[in-house]
Amino acid sequence: MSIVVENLNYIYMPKTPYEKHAIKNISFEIKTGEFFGIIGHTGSGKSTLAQHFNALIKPTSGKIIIDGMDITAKKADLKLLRNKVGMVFQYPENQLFEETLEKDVAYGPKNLQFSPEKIKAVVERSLNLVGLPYEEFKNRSPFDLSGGQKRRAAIAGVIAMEPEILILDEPTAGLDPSGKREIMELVLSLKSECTPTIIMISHDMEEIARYADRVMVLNDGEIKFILPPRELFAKKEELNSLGLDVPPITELAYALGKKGFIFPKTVINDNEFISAILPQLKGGKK
Amino acid sequence: MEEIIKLTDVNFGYGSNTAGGQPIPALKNINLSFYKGEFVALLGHNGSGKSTLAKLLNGLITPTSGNVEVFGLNTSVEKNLFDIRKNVGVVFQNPDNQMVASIIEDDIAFGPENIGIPRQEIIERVDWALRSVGMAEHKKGTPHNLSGGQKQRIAIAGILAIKPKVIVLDEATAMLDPKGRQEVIDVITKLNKIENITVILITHFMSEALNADRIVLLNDGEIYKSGTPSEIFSLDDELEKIGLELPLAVRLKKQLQKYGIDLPNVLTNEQLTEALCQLL
Repeated sequence: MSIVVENLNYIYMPKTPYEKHAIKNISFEIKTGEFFGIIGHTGSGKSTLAQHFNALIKPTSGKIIIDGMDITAKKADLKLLRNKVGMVFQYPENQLFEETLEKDVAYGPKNLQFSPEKIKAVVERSLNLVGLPYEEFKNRSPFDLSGGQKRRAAIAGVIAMEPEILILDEPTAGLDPSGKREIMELVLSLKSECTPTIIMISHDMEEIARYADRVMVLNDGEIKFILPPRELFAKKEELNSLGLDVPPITELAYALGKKGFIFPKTVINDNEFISAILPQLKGGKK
Repeated sequence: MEEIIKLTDVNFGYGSNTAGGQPIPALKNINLSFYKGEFVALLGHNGSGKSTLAKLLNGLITPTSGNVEVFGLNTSVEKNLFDIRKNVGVVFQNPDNQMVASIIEDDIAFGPENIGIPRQEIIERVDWALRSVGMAEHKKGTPHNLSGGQKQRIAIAGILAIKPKVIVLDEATAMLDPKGRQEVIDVITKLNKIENITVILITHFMSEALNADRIVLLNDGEIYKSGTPSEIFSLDDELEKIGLELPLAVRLKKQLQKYGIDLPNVLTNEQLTEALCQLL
């Protein structure tokens, strides 16, 4: 299930003093099975763009074609679209509202008019998938869960609609380090088991480096780059000038490079760093 | 050093009024002091009790048992709260929830107006507070057009205008992008060094705790350990067990050790860089 974006423009509050051209004539394609990262500083248009993918907002001009369906057409079947494209907003736990987890997760499937048997099956599967075993958690209140559990419960509510594309807007913001790890492991397991295409907005360059196949850099509503992480993070100076950082490990390698260490390729994780630096250290293995 | 905040045998439970339910303990038997001019980082996993502790420090909540004393004043005594809150300001996580006025200078003036500062002095304090956080040119602007980092700096300025002796930041950088986070950290570090304001920084980012004078680790509502950053980050695997992680430099030093490379104690990337250069 691919996403094709053609000449997309979005203008907030056109013809008013507050008019803002948030997305400026961008075109790109996301392929089925891709883990696609989107980065950019606050106000660069990331969230505005993401909201187009399940037609929460409609473009001022341009086209978005998802799985062959033009979702920007007047008669587009938005119900079918929202079934296909699942959206996990920032701090999704703020949207939990039901008395029990079972009811909360069932809300989306009910709205999509799944049969009662199917609703039960998807709720059970979704809760199990996010690591909140159905039998143990179905009657618990979503508000009695820990921060990381609440977020997983909210993701279960999206997965239950059986989307084929999952969009995550800063899924690990505000979590402690182990909570972050758990959520990212969950995203990977969802990718392999139910939603093959993942679009993730993140400020965490370490996460982007580790998980994304390709990364789009947005700046002031325009695409600056679409590149695999290693090629992208080789452009340190250009990213810095856009108000973005490279991952801390890449930054460190860069600083050591200035002191005379040699890194044959751009380092984006610990292992690469260690194996590049070891032979250059006195007492290290050659 | 002058002890300015003292928690003695503090317990706090949520939900004591729920039907038949036992209160859920959020903090258990906390004994902890803060001293004048300190920069303390408070670390702990989600739900470890960090934010509950922050709210106890200026009497937004009071302990279920035990005492919190701020400059010798007990937070459980209501008539003390006015003076306590003049001295301890809290910056919260969400920048959008902390603005009260539509013009920035009015927002900053809100605090000093409430404590009855004369008009001329309010004007001076507003200018000083905005300069201190590097936002002087936005005085007549509106908060809505600012970035998250700028909004949090306005929130800090609003507290500064009350001239508190302590500023508590309760995950004030969690919703910001890396640039915004750095802006906030730079501003509070400067306030700590130049104005000698005591800073209590609650965070999930280990890198923000590296330059603290002291780190207090919370785990499941209890103080797990308190010490200098070097002491805390030499805990190694224990940190991961309580939901935290090692800073980058410490993590790499540990991995290099496996290959027979022994480095001196390093915490920051700069220290690691220097140590590695010695071995080049």
